[in-house]
Amino acid sequence: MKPLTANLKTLYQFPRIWLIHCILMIGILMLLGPILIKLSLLFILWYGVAIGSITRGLLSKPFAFCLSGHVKEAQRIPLLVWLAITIVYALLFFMDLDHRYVLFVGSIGLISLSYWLGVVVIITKGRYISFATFLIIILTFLRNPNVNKIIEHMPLAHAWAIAFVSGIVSYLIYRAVGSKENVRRLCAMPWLGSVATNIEKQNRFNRERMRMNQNHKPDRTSPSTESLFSKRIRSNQNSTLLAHLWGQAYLTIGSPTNYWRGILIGGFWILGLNCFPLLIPSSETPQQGVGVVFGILASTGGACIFIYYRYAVFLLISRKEHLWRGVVFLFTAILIVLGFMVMAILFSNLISGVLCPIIFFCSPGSKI
Amino acid sequence: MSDHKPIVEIKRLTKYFSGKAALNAVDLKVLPGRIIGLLGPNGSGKSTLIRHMIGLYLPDNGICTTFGCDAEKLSQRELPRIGYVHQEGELLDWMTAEQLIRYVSAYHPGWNRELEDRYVNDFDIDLNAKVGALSPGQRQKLSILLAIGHVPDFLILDEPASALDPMARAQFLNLLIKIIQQKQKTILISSHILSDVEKVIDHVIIMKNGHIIEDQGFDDLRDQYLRIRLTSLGTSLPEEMPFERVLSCERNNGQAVLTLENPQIETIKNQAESIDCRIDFHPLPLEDIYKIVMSS
Repeated sequence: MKPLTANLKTLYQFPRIWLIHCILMIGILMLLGPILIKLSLLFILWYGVAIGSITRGLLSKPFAFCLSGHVKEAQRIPLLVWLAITIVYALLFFMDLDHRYVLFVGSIGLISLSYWLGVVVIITKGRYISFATFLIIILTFLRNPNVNKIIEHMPLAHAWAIAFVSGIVSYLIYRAVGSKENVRRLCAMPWLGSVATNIEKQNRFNRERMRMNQNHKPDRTSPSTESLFSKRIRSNQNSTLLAHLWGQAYLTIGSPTNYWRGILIGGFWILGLNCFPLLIPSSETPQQGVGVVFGILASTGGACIFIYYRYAVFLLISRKEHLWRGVVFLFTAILIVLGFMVMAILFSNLISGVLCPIIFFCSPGSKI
Repeated sequence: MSDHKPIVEIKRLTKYFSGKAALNAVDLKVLPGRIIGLLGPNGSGKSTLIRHMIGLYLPDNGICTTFGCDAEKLSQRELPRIGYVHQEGELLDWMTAEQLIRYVSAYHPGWNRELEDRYVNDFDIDLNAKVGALSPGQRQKLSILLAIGHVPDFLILDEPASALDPMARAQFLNLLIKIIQQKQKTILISSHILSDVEKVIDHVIIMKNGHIIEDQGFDDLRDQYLRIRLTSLGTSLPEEMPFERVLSCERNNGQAVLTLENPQIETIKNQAESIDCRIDFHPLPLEDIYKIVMSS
């Protein structure tokens, strides 16, 4: 079996990948229709992230570095997928002969930009920079109700300019994916890829990352926080329930202060990619916004139960204490998530307030 | 509590997972002061049994009492008397080792700081490292410290040494021996490293397919089997050996090694003389006994 054939299997062998392909198809179909163009570009961008993740997984396998031709083939995966997207879009586009070539060229440019931006977020070294760019685009995008009109207008008005810029950007990203520096950096670097639901692998991944970050100054809960809660636990040793409630509050509050970078980035990632109705101006989708808030809180609750029981054997405590610790965990976690959501909305308002006038020549929420 | 009242008493304990019996009508008594080796292949039900003892799993049938209390209802009166090293070694990865020790010790008024300091020194635990960044061996050492720091009456060790290197395992065994020397400490060790386990245990429980197939004192179990080496003093060994209940026999150039069940030493000596052989006796290591029990 040739390396390329072997690597291409990652695009169809796992059941989950078909869900990702479906999202792409929805994105393309939406782009052809008159509705929600900005969301379709977001879907394609998200698809780029998924393909970038697969490519990164292939490059991170230690054997890949020495295997002749493997790196080149892994680099070709996002390129081949991009070609496939272009062909699918072209076929669907030209089924309606009224469409003009110039619109096609402009649209392909926008699709390519979205897709390769998604790829680069995951793969390249400056991923914090690319991630910030990615977030700014999403947040600005979402806060402006006129984006659909602008996007509809852009491929026609500036088709060749868009195609030219997108061609250069795509080529540069493609080169960066397979660059020696990038490949060396990714080799043997832990990567969860598409198996994020495997808890064992997730644990190994987290611990490996922690070990790799040992040389940096580790974040740790401040001694004053630690001492405050330890004293509370000690002073309530006679009332074990109170001691455990303080203990659980310490764990729930202490943990995020250690992972604040990851939580900040991960939280924006989730909000940016999956909770877009929350960020869209309320006049557009008030019900969706409420639904998303409810969804986030419900999923927080589910995650809390999962995380809590994962560590349930850590301390030998009675069922009553387990129950109350669980309640405290759920309560404090929901408070933290609510706070985070408020921060995300304020942040998106701030970013779009600054950038909308520059990018779209209008203030956020105003009609063209 | 009287000295001979069992710490754990299990009667007809049955547990099903997805319709499959992980434990099947298990009966067991753990008496105080015993050092018990809980042995068995993967999936035989060892960890499931342990988790019932501390009330983590609830039985589908049968009863499990620990310290005289239904394991399901163990409260903060009984639980601090138990130390438990969990097989998967789940800890709080985001804390430093020191923070974690302080956090756990805050719950225990009787936390032994002297033992902690000695242990941290002997086992070379990096207190400033994040728990998640520790190697598997270091994590296991930390788990052991967290389980013994409050000096529990009943210490349960589920695969405690699987990630330790040989030096650390030797240190760990020494530590166990020190704990054992304190009166009335009861230890239950589940492990696959039988060469280590046999140095400390005085009682053996062997499980297979959710059943306990052996539950007796280690010395009694060891007395049931014997390995003898026969060296012919004449020309060669006879084709037919006079020994009874031979479990295995390997012959090689005038020498033979036999494993016997329920041996009678005097009878064996006489039989060896009758075929003009010199005889050496070797007690069977636990690993070989385990293989025999499992295959019988």
